[in-house]
Amino acid sequence: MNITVIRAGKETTFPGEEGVSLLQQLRKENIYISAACGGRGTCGKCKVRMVTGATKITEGDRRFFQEEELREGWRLACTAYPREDCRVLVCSDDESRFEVVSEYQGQGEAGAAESLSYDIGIDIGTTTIAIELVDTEKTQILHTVTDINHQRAFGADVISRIQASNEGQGEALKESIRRDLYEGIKRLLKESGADAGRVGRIAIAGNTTMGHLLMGYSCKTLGVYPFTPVNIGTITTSFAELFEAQIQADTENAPAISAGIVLLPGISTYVGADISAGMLACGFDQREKPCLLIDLGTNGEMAIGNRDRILVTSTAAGPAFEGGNISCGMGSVPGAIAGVSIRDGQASVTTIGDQPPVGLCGTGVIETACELVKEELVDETGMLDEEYFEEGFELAKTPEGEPIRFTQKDVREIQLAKSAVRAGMETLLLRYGVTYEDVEQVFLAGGFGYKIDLRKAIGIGMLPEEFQEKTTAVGNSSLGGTIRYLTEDRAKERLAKIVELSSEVELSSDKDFNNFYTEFMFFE
Amino acid sequence: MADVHEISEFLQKGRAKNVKALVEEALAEGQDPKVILNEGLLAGMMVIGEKFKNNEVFVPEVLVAARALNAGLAILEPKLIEVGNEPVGKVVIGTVKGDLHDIGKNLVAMMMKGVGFEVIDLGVDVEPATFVDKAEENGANVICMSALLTTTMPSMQLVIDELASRGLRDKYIVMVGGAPVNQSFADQIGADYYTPDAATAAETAKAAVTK
Repeated sequence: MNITVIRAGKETTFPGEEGVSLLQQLRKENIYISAACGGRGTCGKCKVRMVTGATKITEGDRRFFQEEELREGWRLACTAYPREDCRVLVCSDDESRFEVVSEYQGQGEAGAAESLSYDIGIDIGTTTIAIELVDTEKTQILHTVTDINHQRAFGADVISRIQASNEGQGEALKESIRRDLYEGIKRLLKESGADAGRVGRIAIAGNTTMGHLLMGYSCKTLGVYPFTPVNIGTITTSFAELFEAQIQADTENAPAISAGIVLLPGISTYVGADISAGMLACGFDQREKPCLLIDLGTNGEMAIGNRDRILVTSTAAGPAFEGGNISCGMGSVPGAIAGVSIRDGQASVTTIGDQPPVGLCGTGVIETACELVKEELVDETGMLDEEYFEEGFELAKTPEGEPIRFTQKDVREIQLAKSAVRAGMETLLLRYGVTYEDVEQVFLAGGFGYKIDLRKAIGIGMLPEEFQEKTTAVGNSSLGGTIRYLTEDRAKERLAKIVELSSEVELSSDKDFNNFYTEFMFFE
Repeated sequence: MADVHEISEFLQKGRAKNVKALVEEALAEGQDPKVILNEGLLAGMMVIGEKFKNNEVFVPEVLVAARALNAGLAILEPKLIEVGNEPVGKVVIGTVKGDLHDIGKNLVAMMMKGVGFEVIDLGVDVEPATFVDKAEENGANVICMSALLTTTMPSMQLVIDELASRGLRDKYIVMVGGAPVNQSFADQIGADYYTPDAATAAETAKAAVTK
């Protein structure tokens, strides 16, 4: 049985395997396709059209396709098990245009690539990857490259990656991330014209799951209570060792990097090196008054503290902030609605790249919710006005004339997400024994946090009014932390101190958290 | 005279104090505890359940209504025992081993109470054997399991295995739920029912035990 894949006019044929889902076979062939739910047939992102040899229609297919589409051969790749020769049309975007935030507070200007020695900082996010070249002597940022994390083919969130790893995909996940980093580093050097031989050190930060997958550790204990990691200490290796397979496959094209690699230490399974690096970037260990770092993503990690004591936690905000679980939701790609204002029941929108609107990204989700509440089209309990209750509120139309709507279910999703963040933060403040006034500064991290309109986030109650004046968007503070680590004196000791000072608050069974969580679900 | 329908109205608004006062008043007047239960408390909870299913109300409203239900039940329960009112059945419920998520499971427990079940809540991170032990100890008819992580879903299978190994599988109605759970997973592990929301879970359980 042969499977032929057509994507963007290019054809690839490979021998098919019976009893293996089309999605898994595509992954094996490095044909990237997003599968947010991890191949459980529930997100509908892995749509393909089987022009010939279409597979049996599944329960999942019926949920996402009309009768006519099914006749045309539309299927979900994750529930399609080919049994004969087939031709598969992959129309979905390969997400190469994903807008990745690599900026962060305090980032310098790019200079010329005529340096004596370089270091490389890497942030591995669950969704995106950022790689940065820094001049070691002048501590100047020279160049940055970004990409999506192609492990997305195995699921959008860390839990689905852990699950995939537990189901025997660990090796494939490891290869995927190592290939992404290897290719990214090569691109970084090529675009900057820097000499590979002069790269001294590489520092990597990412959440604990990303670290485990990169190192090829078992993820068995990450997904179940008491959530014990295999290793979250500082890990040292080298370019030659970590990328051995890639270098071998690449032969003479492999860059001559002799650098050592250090994976920065994390705090726990759910508060990883990306957060400890973020705290380093925000100087937690040098502050007298407590400050607060909130990473707005699926896991909503946060930390409060100063040079004497730090408390950290993570809260299950879910994928709504990244456009997930939202009916017209999407990633931060061109055409995603990011700005919304509503007046007299009419919405006007702005999109990423000023492209015609195609969906709604995380920032747009918050803006929409805030505007609907402000216009009293959503009441304080989160119920949409009667007029829109059934169909949802129309924000715009796609170029094809399809309405982009915000539904009642979408409002519920954002209620859960914003309340998880707020409740997590309130619980941390309570445990730390401080009020809003005692907090000197609030740092919003994460690509999404960088683009957010703070007033709108406050408008839906995700953050308290009192933080309006003291909140700063710090962007990719994890990447910023790796650069600090590489370029500043005593950074290694400082990071060790931050990890040492930190203790974790577990939220899911915390009574106060659950009370806050319910309380802040309302819009008031 | 205290109006049982007013109890239902107050319960829907989550007014625990009013519910408690009215139940006390109705009992003092000698009204039938079963009528107070069915036409007052449970009728109110049923309305909330239906609205929740339709997305008209959300988690907070259900939780405050549930608090009002509990306030009423606390007064009513001794009287119900006196008059020999039988619950429609007994449910043992918990979040499976390795999982600490509480809220979804609590919602189901409340809805179960709302349709007249006696509910034994085992909490979170519950060992497979504990589900079975507690079901046996309490003479339950239904075992309900919740999991919010794809990584803890496999624990549901362990509970069913535990039942089978003790030769008790057919004695209980086994229900599963939680965000990552779906019908095909329920079929795969041999659970009797999967429901997508708390209100449907309660209706399904009631239909199953009264069948």
